[in-house]
Amino acid sequence: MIRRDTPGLRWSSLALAFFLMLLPLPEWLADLRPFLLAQVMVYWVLETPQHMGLGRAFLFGLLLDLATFSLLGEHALRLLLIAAVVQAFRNQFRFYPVWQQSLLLLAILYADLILLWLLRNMHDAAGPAPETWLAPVLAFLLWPWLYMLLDNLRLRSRSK
Amino acid sequence: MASDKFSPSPSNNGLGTWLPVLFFALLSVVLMSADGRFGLSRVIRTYSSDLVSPLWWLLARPNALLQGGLDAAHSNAALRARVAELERERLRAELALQRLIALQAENAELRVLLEAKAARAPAARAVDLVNVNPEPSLKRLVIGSGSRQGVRAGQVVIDARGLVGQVSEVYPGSAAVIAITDADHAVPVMVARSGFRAILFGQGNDRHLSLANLTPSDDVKAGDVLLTSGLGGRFPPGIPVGVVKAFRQDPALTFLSAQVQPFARTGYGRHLLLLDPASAAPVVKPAPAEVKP
Repeated sequence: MIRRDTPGLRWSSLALAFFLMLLPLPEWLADLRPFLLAQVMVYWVLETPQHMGLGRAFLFGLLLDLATFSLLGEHALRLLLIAAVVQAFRNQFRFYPVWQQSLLLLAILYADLILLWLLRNMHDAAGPAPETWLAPVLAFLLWPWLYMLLDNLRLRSRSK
Repeated sequence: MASDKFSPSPSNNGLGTWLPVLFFALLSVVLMSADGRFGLSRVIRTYSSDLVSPLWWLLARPNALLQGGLDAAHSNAALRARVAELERERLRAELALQRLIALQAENAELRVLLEAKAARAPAARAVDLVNVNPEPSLKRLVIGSGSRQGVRAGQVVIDARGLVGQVSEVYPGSAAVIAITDADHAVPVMVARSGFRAILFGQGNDRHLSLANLTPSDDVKAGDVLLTSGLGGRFPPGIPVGVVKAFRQDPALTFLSAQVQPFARTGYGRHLLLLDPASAAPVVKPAPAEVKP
């Protein structure tokens, strides 16, 4: 099978996720915002690892840090470690059924929140809000739909 | 399309795959400490602010579209009702204003009697609220005026109801405002009724701030209005800040802390007022009945 690359879809989906991470939301919803950029990034680490590696994960994190006024390097470290874990488990991850992928992602996102809590504690900042601990559950529910959507779009643009 | 250099290659298993992870993790630690110590990200944001201003504009679109749609969907009857309501509100406001004018005249007379300097009302200008920081625990706002418009760091930001915060970072075309509700922010305040002075800490929550380390003998009651005290010189005295809601005993049982609800509503509206630092003078000056040390 010849695998044709779909850079347009990759960059536009990442840009859209980045945009949604920054979109102002009502206060009760803002705390629940899932880490959508991480999810889209995980998809591309799984499907086209040669184009979405640690360097780019780190770079996206730095941009997100600058845009959200968080400590420079905080999002970068979070995205880097998520990408590294997904890369390490890529072979297993890819061939899991989609609900099992969701579960693994849920575990990864909770580990990520604990990391965030540690980082915030280390420089005496306020940790994630109580509602934020529910955000990975939303991400868990979202993953199958996101996965199918991106897969469909990718197959369609590849067959063109 | 160039490929990412730090992708796993099939031939590279074992320790080699984790070296780049280690490298980037160390790099992020270096960046975090550099940022915490020297404010590295502030410098980068200053130089890149013109590049990202379209992004802020774009981020405000969905909300603006929604608002526009809601406005267009208003029926004639609803609009008439709204006009009537606004008319009534204007009458009420005018009445209050007249009372204020009388009070102002009386106040001026009293000041002359006291031989005090005339208090000038501070000059303020309206600025656009461009973005609210998406990170919920960091209470930062972005306003659409920057150093080109003469905005300086430390300028005080208020809304129609009370103190919002102060300008923390200034870029050429925009500025970041740290809200009083931010967990890293503190305001010197005084109780309007008794003149008791304290420091009000933000908690990273829009609905309450905390007045910590109170003793039972301090003259603070639920329902007390807090004004800026002007101590420290950063905030002009007399700006309404919030109202004391409830008290809580600290775990150590030595001190009380009070929950304070801020007057300013950062979750509403698109405009804020920026006070001119040159004219920072008392707005309201409550008579300190008995000031306790």
